[in-house]
Amino acid sequence: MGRVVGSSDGTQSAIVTNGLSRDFPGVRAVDSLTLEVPRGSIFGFLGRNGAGKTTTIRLLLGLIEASRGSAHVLGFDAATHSAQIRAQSGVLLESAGLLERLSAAENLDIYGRIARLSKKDRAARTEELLQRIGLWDRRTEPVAGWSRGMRQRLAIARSLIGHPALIFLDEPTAGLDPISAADVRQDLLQLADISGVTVFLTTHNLAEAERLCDQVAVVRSGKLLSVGAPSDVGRDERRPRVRFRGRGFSEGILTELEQHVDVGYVQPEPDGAVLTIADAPGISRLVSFLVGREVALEEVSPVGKTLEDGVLSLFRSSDESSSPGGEGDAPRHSVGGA
Amino acid sequence: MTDLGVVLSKEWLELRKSDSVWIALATLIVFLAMIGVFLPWLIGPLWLSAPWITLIWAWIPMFLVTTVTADAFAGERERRTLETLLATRLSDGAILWGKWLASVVWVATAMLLSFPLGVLSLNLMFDRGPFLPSVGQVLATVAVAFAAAGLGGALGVLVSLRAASVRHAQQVLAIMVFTIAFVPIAFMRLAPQEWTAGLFQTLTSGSPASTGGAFAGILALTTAPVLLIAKARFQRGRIPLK
Repeated sequence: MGRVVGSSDGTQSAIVTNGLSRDFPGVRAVDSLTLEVPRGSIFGFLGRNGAGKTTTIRLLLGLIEASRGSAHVLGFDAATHSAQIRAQSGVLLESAGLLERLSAAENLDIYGRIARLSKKDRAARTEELLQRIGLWDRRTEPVAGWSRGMRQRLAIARSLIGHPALIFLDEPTAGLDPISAADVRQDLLQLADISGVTVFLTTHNLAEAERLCDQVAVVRSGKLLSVGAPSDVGRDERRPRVRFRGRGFSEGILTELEQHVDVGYVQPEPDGAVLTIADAPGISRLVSFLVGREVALEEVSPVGKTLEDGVLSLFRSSDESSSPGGEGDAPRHSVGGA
Repeated sequence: MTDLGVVLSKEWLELRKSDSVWIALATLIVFLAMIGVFLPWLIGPLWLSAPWITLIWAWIPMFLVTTVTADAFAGERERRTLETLLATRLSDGAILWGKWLASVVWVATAMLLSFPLGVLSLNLMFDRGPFLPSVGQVLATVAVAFAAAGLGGALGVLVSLRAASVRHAQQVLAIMVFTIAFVPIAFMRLAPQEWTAGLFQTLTSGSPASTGGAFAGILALTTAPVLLIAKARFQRGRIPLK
């Protein structure tokens, strides 16, 4: 992405957490989170709904207090110097938080004033940001009538109005149609690249994280499962995946495949299945098995390993290690929804 | 002070563009007509010379301000803008005092428009004029209007901080304001006769300026603890966001 990423010592990191935890009555939303976010990076914080992503952002901004552990953001302790953190951060939280009765320009102007920009700087910055996201011509319209995608893009622009060192984006593309989501991603990349800002991005869209992020952390039930480059996440967990296509993949065959010793997981497809297999020699055994069941194979090909594969593998491993009977309780061919 | 100014202008800008501004304006017009035209016509020159007249300037801002301050936090919560505001560099004080001051200044200023209107009505409707207030009376009226708006605003902010919705805040505030309005009536009924006689003497023998000044002082003293409680309850980490 051509972005300068800081070193991994504490002073060069935008965010450093150590055993950060937050309890709510009856639930531990964030559980001993220890991670480091390099300055200048786009850092993806991945997890399902309820994984503790939003709570983590609130902790890092000092909007709520930690139950245990510590967080340093831009060198400031979130427990004692949250005002300084907020002064150097921009946010797009769960809700865009736009002042809907006001126009786009007025929204940016208010937040520019909050960031203590001069009138001249506010006007220039407003024009620059709205031009970049293609909303300059609509700057005088109240945002109440805007689409969700346009609002999200405006909210990203707002997060950058005060030249922050760090921006927090909480599910910026959630609920958007694919084209609007692509627009938001494009704006985000462009604006972040120009500003050189560190981006802390939460999402449950793994393809998005893979496309945008320099580093990702995967959380589940408040616990950190893995952290690293998108290509490294869950690498140890990733087993070969092979697509088998052909005629004769009946429900019964798929059920038999689920029970097969060489098969980890079965992802059914319209004319076949993608199988996660234990090791490479298992492929030939599976071919023999399917031919023996009179399946007319047309294609046997490896499937590229994506971040999604890695994250799903992590989740499955987590399921297996947390369930009393090992992997028995985990659904074997359930994918997606992460 | 800069941050306070930012919050003030944000609040006024939002208020100006809100749907409820029309309700507030309609209420204000009714009050202006009542206080600036009907009461001078009904009471006559006493409207300006009676010592107790400045008390009128307390009740109306108190009612009006609650329509605005109910929105202060509960409205932001409903519109889901509160968390974004709390995530800015603005201090707790700037947000709290800014929201309070915005409603107080708006309502008190609007209310004070009815004072010159009342003087004008008096002079147009009665021949024995001119009827003009003293400087002290003008100052006392301003002080009472601001002090009453200040108390109403403080109660409004306090309730709005934790209210689940604007409607909930308005309901609680309506009960509070009516309770406050009934305190003098209950006092007159329950207090020893010599106390009520003393109060009556004060309200009829002093000047509008001195009576108004004293009343503004009482209101301000009542406002202070309410604001302190609101400040104590305004903690970023504990304010409900939804």
